Amino acid sequence: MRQAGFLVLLMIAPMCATAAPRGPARSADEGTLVRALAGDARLVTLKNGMQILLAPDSTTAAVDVSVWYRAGIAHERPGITGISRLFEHLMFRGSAHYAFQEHSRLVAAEGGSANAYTAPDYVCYYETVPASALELTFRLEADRMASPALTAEGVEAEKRVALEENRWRRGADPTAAALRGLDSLAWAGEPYGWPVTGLDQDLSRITLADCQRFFAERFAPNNALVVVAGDFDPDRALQEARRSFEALRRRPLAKDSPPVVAARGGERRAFARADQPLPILAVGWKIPGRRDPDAPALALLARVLAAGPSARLSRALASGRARCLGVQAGVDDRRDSGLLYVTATVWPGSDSAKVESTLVAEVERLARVPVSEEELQRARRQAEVGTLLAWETPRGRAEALGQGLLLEDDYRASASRLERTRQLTPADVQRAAARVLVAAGRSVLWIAPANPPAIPGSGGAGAGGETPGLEQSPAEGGR
Amino acid sequence: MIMTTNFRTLARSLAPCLVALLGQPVGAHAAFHMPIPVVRTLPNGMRVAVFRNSRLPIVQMELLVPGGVAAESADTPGAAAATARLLRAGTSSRTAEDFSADLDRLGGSIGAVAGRDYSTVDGTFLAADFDAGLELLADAVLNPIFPEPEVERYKSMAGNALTRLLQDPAALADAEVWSLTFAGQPYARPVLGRSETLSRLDRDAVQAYHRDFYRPDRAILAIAGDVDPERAFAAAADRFESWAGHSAAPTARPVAASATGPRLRILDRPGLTQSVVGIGLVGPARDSPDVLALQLGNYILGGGPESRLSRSLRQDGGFSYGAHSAYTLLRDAGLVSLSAVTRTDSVAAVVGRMRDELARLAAQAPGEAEVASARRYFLNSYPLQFQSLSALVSQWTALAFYGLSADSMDRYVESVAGVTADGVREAASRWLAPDRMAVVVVGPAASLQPSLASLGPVEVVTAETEPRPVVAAPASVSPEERKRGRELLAQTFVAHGGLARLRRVKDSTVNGDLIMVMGGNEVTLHMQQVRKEPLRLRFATRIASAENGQILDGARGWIFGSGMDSVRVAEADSVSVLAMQTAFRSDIVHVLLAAADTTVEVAWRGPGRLAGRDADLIEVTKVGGAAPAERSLLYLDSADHRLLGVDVGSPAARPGAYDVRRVYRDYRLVSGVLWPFEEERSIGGARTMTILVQSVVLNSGVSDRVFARPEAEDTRAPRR
Repeated sequence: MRQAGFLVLLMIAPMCATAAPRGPARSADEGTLVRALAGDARLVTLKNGMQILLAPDSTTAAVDVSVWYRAGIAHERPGITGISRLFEHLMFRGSAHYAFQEHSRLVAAEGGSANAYTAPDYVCYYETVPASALELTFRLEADRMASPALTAEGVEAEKRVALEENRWRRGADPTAAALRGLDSLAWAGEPYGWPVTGLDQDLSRITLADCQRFFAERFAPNNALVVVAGDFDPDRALQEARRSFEALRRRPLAKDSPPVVAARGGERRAFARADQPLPILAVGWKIPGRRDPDAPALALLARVLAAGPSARLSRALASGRARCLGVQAGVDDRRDSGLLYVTATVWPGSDSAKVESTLVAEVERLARVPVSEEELQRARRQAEVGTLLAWETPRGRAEALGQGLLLEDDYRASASRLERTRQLTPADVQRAAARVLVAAGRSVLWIAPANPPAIPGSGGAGAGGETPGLEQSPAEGGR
Repeated sequence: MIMTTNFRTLARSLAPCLVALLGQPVGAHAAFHMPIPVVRTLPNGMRVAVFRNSRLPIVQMELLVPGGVAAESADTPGAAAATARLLRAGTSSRTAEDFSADLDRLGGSIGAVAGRDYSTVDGTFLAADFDAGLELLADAVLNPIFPEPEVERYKSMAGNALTRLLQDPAALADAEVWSLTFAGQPYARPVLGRSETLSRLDRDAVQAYHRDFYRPDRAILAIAGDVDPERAFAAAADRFESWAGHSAAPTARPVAASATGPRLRILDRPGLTQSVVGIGLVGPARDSPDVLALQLGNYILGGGPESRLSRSLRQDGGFSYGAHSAYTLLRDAGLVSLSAVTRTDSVAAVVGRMRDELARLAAQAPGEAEVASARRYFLNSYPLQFQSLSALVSQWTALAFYGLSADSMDRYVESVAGVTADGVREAASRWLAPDRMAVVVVGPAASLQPSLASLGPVEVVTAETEPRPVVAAPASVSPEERKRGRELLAQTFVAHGGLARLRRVKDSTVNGDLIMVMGGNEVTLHMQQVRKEPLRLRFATRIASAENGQILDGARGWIFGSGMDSVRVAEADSVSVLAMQTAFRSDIVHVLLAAADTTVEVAWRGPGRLAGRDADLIEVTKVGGAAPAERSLLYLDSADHRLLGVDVGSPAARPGAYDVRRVYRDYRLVSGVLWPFEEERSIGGARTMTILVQSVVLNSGVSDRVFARPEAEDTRAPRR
């Protein structure tokens, strides 16, 4: 196994083939990965505090421009949750020099595309364009950074859209809904426990004044990062960026206190019902944030557990009384905290208590018994392919670079993480597991089918598993 | 033994043109060059192209075989898609699970897709795993065995996908535009086939498709990544040298464009308030000199963000947002398709405006500014199609399949720059004249038909699988409708054994399998339903030794679950009891007897279709009492009067509430009663369960004890 791993190293860095596997070999290899990710990237801070990362790569034919604002649920307050996500939309409603939706139209006319998304720690807007449209893209982004059209009418319209999307989301994917429930349980009382999409009651009451204040405090140039990745001349791009962005004034920001990470006070449990055919179990373990040295090992644990049919939980929950229809595991690692989670959809007739005990035992065993070389190798390769594929396109590189800087204070973080992943041993992984896979950090959420009725009076977490009938109830007419 | 072809530099002349056209782009070093592969041909005819790119330690590969959906035998639509999907589902040396486990070990992936002209299989691996990855890909392409159960599983999945398609007006309109525009020709075929032909698709058809089209002589393999070309050729030669035979895929054949006046088809969806309009026109073959001018023409018409269609329908008309057109290029023809979503009362106006825009493009040269912005778009977006190695191998295999020479790529930018406004008009006049339109509208036929009739003859296709909304408000029933309804029902009662015999059924015991569909997966449970008059039901499902079920005894009920060591029982609440009472009345005997009740309102609601059969629609409404009216829609076979199926509306008639549909098949005689041995249930058009009956016993004197409260051996609540 170790040999196979070494083969990978040989492929990428033949010049290190004779070096010892530790020391120089490691850093040279990491250097290769960093070059593949970041090339000759340059991080510049403009006079107004805006950061710009220029990461040219002449082997591609497009440029990706992304603008990242440190504005997410991590920075929201009770009563205005979802406001960052509202801004994801509001920023497309025009600005001083561009009409409603003109931004997207102009980018499309150049052959490019524009979009945005919201994460717990930031909002990211991006355009993938031919190099000839780089200047236009800077002008568009700078104009909305300076003067987005914030109107009462616009805010109301986007609130309606957001509420409608939330409504749709609730019904769409039971597993995703279970994960949102698990977030609010595991991070109860902390901003990370709020849904990125906002609580409906907050969204409904957000006002234009709230938006103006949030904009002033969060969407300032000195709270923004611009990443340019792809085929462009960095000197000329920097010149253009200065012309577009540097005149925007620096503003005082809201005090950026890191989210409170509550002490782990023992296992948390919740039970809910939802309109879905089968019971779903979601279990999460609190883990440290992205910057923790154990983060790569913890991400591998999720793969060991449920990536593919050969993974541990995929096998353990495939048959018998704990049989499940589907198992997923993953790591949701944010800047200041994270969650290693598993979800399982319980097979009709399975014993829900058995499902839970099997799942928890399999996961927490990772803290006591080292994983096999073969399992680790499989997980490492999956992680490696996933990481490298993401670096193929300018968009993917910009994501890796921007997330690195925002979440780990280093745009090279994705390369360092992959390098650490390659070096991980079963003992490293076990050590990391032992830190977090304990009952005190565990949150357990059961979601039982709301319809047809479960056994009345039995209550408790396990009821869903024994509920007869489910959707296959002959009682369709009585819905 | 290996021939070498040296491809000339493809894009040498791009740079000067780009600069001339665009001015100096901000900071771009130079114009984009499509990378050049090294290409060799194996003795069996397969071409192999390798792009060496060492930026990342990964490798992307794609193998193309000519054929695709257009080459399918007319008898087995859907065979191309089924074959592609099933390549990984078991080979001569690996089960489906082995194959997945081997992929897992490498962290790689393999996928396959059937297009209209060809099928492709692609793979992604770490460069270090190139040999192992290529071996897996070759195994899937050369040695699939298409196990029977996997074929059946695929058919069930495809059936669900087709059902979902029928629920999605925009996707349906798109599929129907292909079908109407290319009517009678191979490009008309839907990629997945059709619900009614899916049953014909079997292992033999998939094997035959694989035998005829997965052949090396015209196959193309492209490999890109951190792999030494010599090593890649050696590995490819090694893996594919045993592959032999000739592809049955036809070579180019012309597609006739109809010019017989517009054709119109309405897909009747009575419930829709927003209709979807789709218009298709046949474009020239891929190698036609008109292609480039039509691409620009399409951009001006509806492809770009400020196109004529979007202005005409959004800004001036306010009829529709998102009106656009698309141009798909295939080997033997192209499809220009226009689409919009609009209020039903605006459909005729939207079709009229689309027709006017087509006529204008065919009659007048577009303005120079419009042509210039179209040119700029194509020149700019061209290099964006090569952002990843996977995109590169896809683009290259497609170019090689279409026989596009190095020259044509070389000249692409030059050619785009050379398209004139007049050239756009000329191409449009040849291909986009309004009398060549095929118009598809998905919406309520009753309101659409009169307004569209002026455009030409209209064909109406009645929805077969979409549940017809059961009218919520009391609808008026004319004496004729009532009379016709009663007459047809009387024939149905006779067909099912006669009312007297149906009324004599005092108990029934049905055993069978219940197959549930959940998120694309199927779960099979053994099921038993025991009914006894009046209002007694025991319904139980079993997996292994665990039995779950419900018992109804008049106004009371219980829910029970038994495992290996315990039985848990709970009293059902009033809602559950109501649900069980409804369930009691949901078998074929009660459905028929309910329609025979003289206190219900009965109305013939016209002809329709269900399960591939012509049907008479009978609405049955139970009125009176405090409860809201219960309505159902019975589908009676027009030929032999059997009950084909029934739609049940939600009693509360909540807006947006789903209707439940039951479709009956496989009728057999049981003690003189015609009983369905297959019943398929769907909610909102999505199949949720199928009941396959194994045995039915009537009037066996079921004991009352069957409906007693089960003995609880352990009633404690589950853990915690």
